[in-house]
Amino acid sequence: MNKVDIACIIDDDPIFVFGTKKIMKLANFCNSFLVFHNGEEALNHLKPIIESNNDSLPDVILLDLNMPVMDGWEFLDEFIKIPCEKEITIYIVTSSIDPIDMDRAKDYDNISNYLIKPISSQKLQELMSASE
Amino acid sequence: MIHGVMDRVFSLIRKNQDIFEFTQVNALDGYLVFNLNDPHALWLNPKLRSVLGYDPQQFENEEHTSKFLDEENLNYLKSLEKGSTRIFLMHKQGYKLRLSGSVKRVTEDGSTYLFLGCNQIEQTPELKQKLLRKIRRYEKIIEGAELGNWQWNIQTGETIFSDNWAEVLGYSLEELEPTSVKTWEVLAHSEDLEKCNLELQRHFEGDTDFYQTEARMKNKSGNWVWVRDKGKVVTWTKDREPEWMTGFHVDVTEEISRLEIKKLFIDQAPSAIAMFDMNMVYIAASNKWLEDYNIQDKEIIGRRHYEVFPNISDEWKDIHKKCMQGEIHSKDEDCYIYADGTEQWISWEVRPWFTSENVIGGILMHTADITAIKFAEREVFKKQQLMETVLESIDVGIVACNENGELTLFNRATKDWHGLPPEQIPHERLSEYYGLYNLEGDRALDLSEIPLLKVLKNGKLENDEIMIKPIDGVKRKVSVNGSRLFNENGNLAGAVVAMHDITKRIEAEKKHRISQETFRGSFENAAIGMAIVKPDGQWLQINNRVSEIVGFSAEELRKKTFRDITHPEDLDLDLKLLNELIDGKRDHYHMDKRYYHKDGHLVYIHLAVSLVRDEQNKPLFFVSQITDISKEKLAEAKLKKTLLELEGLLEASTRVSIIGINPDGIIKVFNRGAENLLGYSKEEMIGIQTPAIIHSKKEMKSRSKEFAALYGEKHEGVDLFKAMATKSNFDTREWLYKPKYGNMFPVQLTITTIKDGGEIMGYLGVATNISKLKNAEKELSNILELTKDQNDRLKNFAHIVSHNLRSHSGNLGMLLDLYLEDHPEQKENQIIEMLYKASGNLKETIDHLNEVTVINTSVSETLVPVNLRKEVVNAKHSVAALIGNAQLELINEVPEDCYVKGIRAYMESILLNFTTNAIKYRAEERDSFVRFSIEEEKNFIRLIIEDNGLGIDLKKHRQKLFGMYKTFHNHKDSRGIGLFITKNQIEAMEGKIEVESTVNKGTKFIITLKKHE
Repeated sequence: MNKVDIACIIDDDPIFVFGTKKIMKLANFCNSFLVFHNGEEALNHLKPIIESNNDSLPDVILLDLNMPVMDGWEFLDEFIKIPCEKEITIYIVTSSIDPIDMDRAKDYDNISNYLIKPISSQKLQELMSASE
Repeated sequence: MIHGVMDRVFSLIRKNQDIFEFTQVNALDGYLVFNLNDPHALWLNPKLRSVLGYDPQQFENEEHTSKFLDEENLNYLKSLEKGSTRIFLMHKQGYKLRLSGSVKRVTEDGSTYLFLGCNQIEQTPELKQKLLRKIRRYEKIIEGAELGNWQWNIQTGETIFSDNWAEVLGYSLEELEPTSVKTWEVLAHSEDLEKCNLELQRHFEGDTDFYQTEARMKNKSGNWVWVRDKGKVVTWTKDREPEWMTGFHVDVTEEISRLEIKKLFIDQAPSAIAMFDMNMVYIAASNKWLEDYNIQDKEIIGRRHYEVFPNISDEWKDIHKKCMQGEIHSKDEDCYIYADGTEQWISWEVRPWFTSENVIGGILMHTADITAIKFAEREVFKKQQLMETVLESIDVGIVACNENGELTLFNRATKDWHGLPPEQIPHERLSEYYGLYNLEGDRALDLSEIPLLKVLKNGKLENDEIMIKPIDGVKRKVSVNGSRLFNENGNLAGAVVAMHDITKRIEAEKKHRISQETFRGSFENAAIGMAIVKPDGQWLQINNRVSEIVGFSAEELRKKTFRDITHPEDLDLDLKLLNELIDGKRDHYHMDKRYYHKDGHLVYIHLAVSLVRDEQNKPLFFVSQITDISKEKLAEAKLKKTLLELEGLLEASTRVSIIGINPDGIIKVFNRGAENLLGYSKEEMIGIQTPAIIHSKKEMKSRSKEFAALYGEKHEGVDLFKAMATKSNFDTREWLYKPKYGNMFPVQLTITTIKDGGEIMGYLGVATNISKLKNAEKELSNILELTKDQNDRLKNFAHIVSHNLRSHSGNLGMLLDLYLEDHPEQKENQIIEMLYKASGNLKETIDHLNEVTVINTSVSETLVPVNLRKEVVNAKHSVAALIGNAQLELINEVPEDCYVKGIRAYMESILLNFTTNAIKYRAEERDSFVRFSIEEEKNFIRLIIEDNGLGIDLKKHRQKLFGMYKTFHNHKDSRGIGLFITKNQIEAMEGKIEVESTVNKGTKFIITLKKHE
């Protein structure tokens, strides 16, 4: 299993964040977490890191769609504009099963998968084995 | 004042003894007094007045000193203080009287008065003798001159005539005595008296030095003799009135009578002649003279010329003077411009005339007013100038020659046309030189053909047409007119020709001919009948089409009038319209009428007539256009018949409006239903109105636009209905009808053509009121709107449920998982166990809800062909194990090429659901089967799924069969969501599902889906 160094969770739901972090820890998914409560917060933090080509960039981003201030799509639109050498795996993690959203996710090359909440440890393990 | 002087004098005398004595002693013949301070007035006593020839009674008057004393004597007198002296006082008769006198001065109140007392001195006989001698000498002179002397006291009328005076008139003086001024008045000619008196008056007033006149007097033998009188006033009264006058007269009869002849001659002269004496006094003037100088109403004889014409110039006076010295002056024309600006032209002559003694007696003036002539001359000149200008400016070539054929006139136009100035060219070379050709321009003119020479030789020439073809210049066709010229004696003096450029006219004529031919061509071959008819009705020209219509040839028709072939019932109207046309009440008319065909049958025609008039506005001919409308008329008749047949039907429908129109759009049918619906009566509509009256203009316009957009043809008004019906046999759509009263209402209107053997005879519009339908439709659409709204809200709700509930239930499940991982010992806790189960159930419910929501939200139009048989096979494979366990027979009777429009995932899910249901609800006690078969319709495929399972009690459950969470069996696997989702999926594919079932026998589901072609 290829362990991830930094996993980034962008979600406004504290329970989800709590649960996900817990599951990831249990599954030993990653070494550390970066957590943001909306797209803007994430962008403001990630942009300077990317531009300085810092090592503390996350390897995986779990992105919620429905968020206040800046939603997941808006974040994606801004995020992909930033030139980045490191390959970052982005997962959409949402409770939306709207086919429109699912279709839209396919338009982004950077998005590796579309996950429907909640995330179980079983699902996480599937992911880890898929990214191997 | 006067009295004052006299009173003062008397008072002085009374007061002053010295003065009294002085007057008594020294004034035997009277005295005079004057104030030295004011010596211009004096007072004479009555005695002195009498001595000096004045009326002594007038003594109270103060007199002018100058009347009695001249300056010299007065000054002398003034210088005397007192004492005696000699002094001259003036007699009233004008002579000075020498008196001896004494002077005395008296001063009173600051004034000094001088008294002069007078004593008469006897004149010396010597002096008297001297005077007498003088007088006698004068008398002798007068006598010797045979002058008839006369003296006349104007104041008293006393006269003294000499013998000679009487002798001039053939009398002796004695015969006339006693003489007075009356003697003269009696003898003088009454006509001349006035003139004499006038002269006297002028003399008395000092206008003339002498009185001089000529007058007729009757001599002793009773004849009139002319007497010239000349005299002068010699004494004057103190009031400056003439007193004594003396003069003489001589016989001038002979002189006058000769003059009279001249005068007579002059008076009667037809020209303006006047005769003057040496003083420029008129002796005679002809009537013409009076007339010419506008002095008819003035008496000029005896008056000076310069008095009659005060403004006469010195120049003239000089001429008069010279002529009186014997010169003769004359001028042929002379212009006088009067103050008012009018001109007078005269020709004049002034010459002296001579008396019998050959002495110049005066002058004769002879003038002729030539103003009129002058003006006439001027007019002629002007005309001549005008003529010359015209000749030079007009575009008519004018050439003239003299009797020898030599060119005398060659105006500008001619020069321009020939490009050459006039030159005397030998006749033989004229044509060549001036480029004279025949009209065709191919041959130079012979000598005998040259118009000018032709005229000179033969006289008049009219419209000779030639061509002028200059060597370099424009070719011109000209028409030549000419005539000979004669001098005032009637002899041939030459010839003149006028040439008109007719090049353009000839071209125009040519064009006209061409257009006429064109007209004729189009007339002959016109598609409609055309005829030209004389005002009396006779056919003049008929084209082929007319002959075709009426069967008569043009020849045959020309022998007839239009009346002959017109149906008698149509004739009156035709003639009425025709007369209105002739009277100018209309400029054209048209009507439908009937002609008799040569064969005898009637021909229906449409006739349009207009009138052509000549320049005098008289009718020249009618132009008729004749269109054969027999077919239309017959069609109409047929239509009528058809409609009549339909009428019963039409009338029967009282709620359906049926309106028929003819091809012109005029309403021909208007049934009871139409009356009921629209409020108009048949009588108002039939034959009068078009359907336009019952339609909204706005709607017609928008429909017209729609039609134009669709077919690219623009039709308006009734034509639109016709076009709509024609496009596709019938046209049905909603329209608004506009009733006579009230609001417009919607109708469903079908417009159809009424055809007879493929030919359209009319159109029929059938309409029903759809107001109620419309209202219902409206309500429906409102409900739909409402439903949609609610549906939207529902969808939104579902979305919230699916999304938000999911999050929460997901979290719940996740937290429970985590909790149990942290506390594995709690797995046995019953509450935790139930909580775990509840969380699982919530998740499942939400998943089901999501499935439903997904179906509802993805009603896609992108249905794809799905092969039904294959899908059944796939379902069978999916649950092959279950089928095997249940020993269920799956019968697939769906043919291989059966395709429906659908969504594969849904189809899969549906078939799987029915298959599993068939397994779940099979009847264990018998061999189970499920059969898939189809029924094919035109556009649909009916999929029939039939089993022999437990069946459903439809009486109880039909309503709830496809509801959510309805199960009808106490089966352990029944979850009640399957049929609900299935139904939704089928409807999402625009299909429907029906069910038939009998408990314990089996169930049959019929799914209708769209067929894929």
